[in-house]
Amino acid sequence: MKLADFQKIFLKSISNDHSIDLESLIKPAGSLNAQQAIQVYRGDYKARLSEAIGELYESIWYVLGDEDFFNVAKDYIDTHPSTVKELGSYAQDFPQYLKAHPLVEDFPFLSQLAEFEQTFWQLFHQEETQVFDPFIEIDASELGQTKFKMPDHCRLFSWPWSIDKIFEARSGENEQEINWDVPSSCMLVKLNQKISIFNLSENQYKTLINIAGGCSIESSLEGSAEEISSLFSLLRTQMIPLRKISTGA
Amino acid sequence: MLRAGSLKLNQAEKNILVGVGLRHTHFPYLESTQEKVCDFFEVISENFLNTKGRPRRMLDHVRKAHPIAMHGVSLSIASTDDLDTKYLNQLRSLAQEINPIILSDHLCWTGGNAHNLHNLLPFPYTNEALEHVIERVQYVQEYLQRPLTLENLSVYLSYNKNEMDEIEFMNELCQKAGCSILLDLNNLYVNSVNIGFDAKEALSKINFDYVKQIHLAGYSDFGTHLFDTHSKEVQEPVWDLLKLSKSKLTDQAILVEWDEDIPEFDVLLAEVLKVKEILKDQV
Repeated sequence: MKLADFQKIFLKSISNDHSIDLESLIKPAGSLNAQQAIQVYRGDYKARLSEAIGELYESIWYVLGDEDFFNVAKDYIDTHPSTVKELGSYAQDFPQYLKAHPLVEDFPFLSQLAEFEQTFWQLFHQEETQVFDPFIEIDASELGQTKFKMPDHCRLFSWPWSIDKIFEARSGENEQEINWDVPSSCMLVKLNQKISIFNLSENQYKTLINIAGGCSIESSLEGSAEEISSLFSLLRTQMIPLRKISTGA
Repeated sequence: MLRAGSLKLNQAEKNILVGVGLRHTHFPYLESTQEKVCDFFEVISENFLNTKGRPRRMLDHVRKAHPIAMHGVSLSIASTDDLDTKYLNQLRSLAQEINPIILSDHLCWTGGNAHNLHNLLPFPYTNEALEHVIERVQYVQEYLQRPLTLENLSVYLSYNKNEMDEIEFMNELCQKAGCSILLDLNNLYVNSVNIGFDAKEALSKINFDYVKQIHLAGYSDFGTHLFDTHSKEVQEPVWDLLKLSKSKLTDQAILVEWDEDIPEFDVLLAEVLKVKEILKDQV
């Protein structure tokens, strides 16, 4: 038998649970029969991919619990053969997949939660950027007209649910009741080799979105003086490196 | 904390390195020290292809004091699908940055390009397969501008019409393609039980001129078969194979693998010291 033919039969046996053709070609290990020997590889495939999804989307596992999570993972694996070389890159469209899943009726935030965790991992693997006080070298009289660019390792989120709280509880180490049906906004940012979540008020979120959209500081501001003050204090004390792109009108 | 370098071999006669795998479980300990803790570290190449974050910082940190061996799991050298150029480019870039002492993968295929099974899969040891793999090894070595080292597999089934055994296949491959062998003594023992052959006899057939690296690990006995779990200490039958090999060793790198239920770093170093004790007897 040609090598290519053997590999076609092997692949079909592992992925489609159709092992009759392969059984006649192999000698099983130990006291396993042919079906059991093939099952070692078949089971291993699904276990590896399920484990990969579990590591990449731990928060989804936390929310769904073992049974539902592994059912969702199995359905995903059955319909999404891996084409990647490293498992950390598998299931990139899992958030999209969850959007249309029936479990969304019980947990409407599933897709957004998965997207948030995916962003967390993107930041984890990003190169560290130097931090600095973004306003230190800007003359106070020019600040209002200054425009900034948000750094790539700083992402903004706003949802009708408390996704950041669910995400932070994902390890399950501290049992806690989470009222997820509360709107929430936050900034996810990688600073000094650590990824942090900073809660924002809705107005603070809007202000940062305006800044990220290219508006000057003055035209970006939303909310009360207290909200604005605490936001700018956060940006300065945490050294969020907004990069100045222009000063003045 | 033990220091694996505290037990020196006679370096004038032998230049054998003994190391461990770089695993994230040990990052906090390794971050806390600048010292050399073993002769070398082996990294899983794929874990560093797409990251500039903490894993890569850790690799750069340990590189300051230790040589690095790169060990891949996705080359799929025996696949009949095309080699993945994107993957080879990433591997080449990483190797250029790291300058590893050894660049290895497995003598296996891992699935198709359209369906990667993420497993190290056996294939028929036939003359046709040998010619195919020789051609691909030569291509990869040319592409990476580095010699390739390939590891013998642990298997749970074998093709029933093999034209040669794995050792014959590897010896022939190395001779014709100019690559070398990563001899996993645990895999050799696991296969000897699972497939049914004499591990010591198989060991005697290996041409050690081609052996560049050795892996040692622990297996699990599932009753029906042995499984290569890398989840415990190296077991006696595998130590016996190392003892049988030691007179043939010259300048290989020996790795203690531990990938599941990974213990404290001290436990790994105790295994490293055990290797050095065994080797010390010969010099």
